[in-house]
Amino acid sequence: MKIVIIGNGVAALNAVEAIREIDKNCGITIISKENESFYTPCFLANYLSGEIAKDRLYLKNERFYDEQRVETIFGNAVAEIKVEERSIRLSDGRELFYDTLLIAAGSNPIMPKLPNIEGGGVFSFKTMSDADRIISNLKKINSAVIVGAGFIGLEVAEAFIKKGVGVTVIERDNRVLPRMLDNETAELVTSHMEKNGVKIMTGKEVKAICRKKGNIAGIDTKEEIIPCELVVIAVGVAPNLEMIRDNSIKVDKGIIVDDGMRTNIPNIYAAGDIAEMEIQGERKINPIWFYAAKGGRIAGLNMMGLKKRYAAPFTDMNVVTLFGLPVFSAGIQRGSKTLKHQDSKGIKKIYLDENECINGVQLIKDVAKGGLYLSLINKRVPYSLAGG
Amino acid sequence: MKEIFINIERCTACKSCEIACAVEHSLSKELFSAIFETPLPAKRVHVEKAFSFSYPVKCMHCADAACIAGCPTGAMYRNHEFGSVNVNTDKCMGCWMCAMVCPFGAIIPDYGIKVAQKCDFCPDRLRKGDEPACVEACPTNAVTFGEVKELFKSKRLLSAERAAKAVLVREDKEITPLEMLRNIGNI
Ligand SMILES: Cc1cc2nc3c(=O)[nH]c(=O)nc-3n(C[C@H](O)[C@H](O)[C@H](O)COP(=O)(O)OP(=O)(O)OC[C@H]3O[C@@H](n4cnc5c(N)ncnc54)[C@H](O)[C@@H]3O)c2cc1C
Ligand code: SF4
Ligand code: SF4
Repeated sequence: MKIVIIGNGVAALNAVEAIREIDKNCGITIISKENESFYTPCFLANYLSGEIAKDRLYLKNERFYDEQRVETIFGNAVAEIKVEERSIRLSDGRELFYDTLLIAAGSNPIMPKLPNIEGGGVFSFKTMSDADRIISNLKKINSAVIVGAGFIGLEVAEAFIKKGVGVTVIERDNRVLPRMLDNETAELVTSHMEKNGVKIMTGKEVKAICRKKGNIAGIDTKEEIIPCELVVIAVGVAPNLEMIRDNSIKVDKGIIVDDGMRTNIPNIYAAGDIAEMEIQGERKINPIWFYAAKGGRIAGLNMMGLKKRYAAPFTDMNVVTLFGLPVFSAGIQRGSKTLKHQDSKGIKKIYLDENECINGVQLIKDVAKGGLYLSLINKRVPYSLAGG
Repeated sequence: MKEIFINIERCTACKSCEIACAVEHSLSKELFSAIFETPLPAKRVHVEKAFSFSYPVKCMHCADAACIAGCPTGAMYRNHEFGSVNVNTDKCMGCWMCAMVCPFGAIIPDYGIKVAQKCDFCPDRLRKGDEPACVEACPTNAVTFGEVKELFKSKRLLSAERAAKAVLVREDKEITPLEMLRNIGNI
């Protein structure tokens, strides 16, 4: 059997390890657009800030691919999947045939269509080469604007401050970390960021990027122009569907998969940031490491004929540390009742639904029990704090 | 493969397991020298008391460990010698993804040095053929060590869920003991 995997991220690697648990010999080829060995994107901001060396990002040693008997084609993108022919076409024109295919090509940073966005000085923050390109520009600049106050935008802001670059974060929503926090906790994070030197502007829409002789001069919001020399766009990611050229593989925002990571084509699977899970009529993309790792493993096992299903619900969750302050969020930060607890260990805020089950939890400072709450959210255990 | 089993009904909150754990993870591994060490040796089991209820919270070394899948550095790994789940502190970046997904609240973040700590199954003791320190120390056999049995497994998970609830509810001071018990019964 010949297995081809598109992508060399955590979903792909977990699939490889799962496949090798079952079959030591089948042919596996990994194709990756980036010319990089497997690395973690989660600490790119720590690399940008100089806190860690680049080699800390690479998670497998050089021998890994040989030991797992995986053939690699790096620095070559898949341009097209030909479902009928059971083949893929690479950007250099080569064609490769597969018996079973795993699409684990991750996500792309969303780049809004802003006037003057094309050209030097505007960066996304998704890959090793994004980080390297920003690093090589850092010495030349004193000020930067980050568009988007999600966790990646705020992590990059922290890195810039640590590098001595003045930074303003502009967010369209009315608060920072809008997908993780409510107004109250977001306010705490904002003042913590500001205390550490980051300028935060919320409720502001970026209209255009201003350039002088091609160089970045500033960012135009409706009301004012914020001068800067470099721009990082961090407004989110979207599944990378560049290799899907016809209608045979079912896609919506991402590649639609069931709870076994199967697409609508029997010998094609998808996992990680690119996959959109469809469970009981509900569709969800959840671009975080944990789901990519789990999904990759389940895909790998199912590709080998097992019948593994994704058991846990696909709950939103994340944890990020900003200037030493850990921030955790799981579930939906809305509900019919709110519970709040604050002491020297930190802040805990819980949203309950009408059945007294937990909708969402936010923890600031002490996040050790985050997973306990996550399991209570997933199990729909009534919290029932009558009179509380 | 041997596992630790916790019987929630037997725990009297004497905290012998906590002390034994801290001593086992001290430099000297002796109680009287351990208490003079700086930093003080940290325990990886916490007895959580909830009114009439108590329970030692610790890593269950899950077969399908969420913390390993969640760890984006490869620091959290399976030790195949004992089947345990351990942290490679050199690789750990203190991102707390493991704490985000551990359903037992078993990760003890060291926020100062940004390293995750947890029960390591006392590898030095197991290699000598001894039991983990908490098991040996427990006077009521609330913590035991033995071969996995399916029956044990399901029972263990049930009590762990109860514990989760007990630990969490305890923090909300508004709750009365009666409500507490009702909540635990709800699971
Ligand atoms: C800066 C940053 C910080 C993050 N921090 C966290 C965090 O703290 N916690 C968390 O849970 N998650 C975090 N994430 C998200 C997490 O990294 C992703 O969810 C995870 O890496 C997704 O894994 P994946 O395998 O689906 O895709 P990726 O890791 O993105 O891998 C995609 C692979 O596909 C390859 N590829 C793409 N297109 C093609 C093509 N056409 N042909 C061939 N190969 C292709 C790429 O080269 C790459 O190897 C962060 C992400 C970023 C960018
Ligand atoms: S830390 Fe938590 S998730 Fe990991 S093995 Fe222990 S109990 Fe399981
Ligand atoms: S805190 Fe350490 S062990 Fe836990 S997930 Fe992060 S890197 Fe892994």
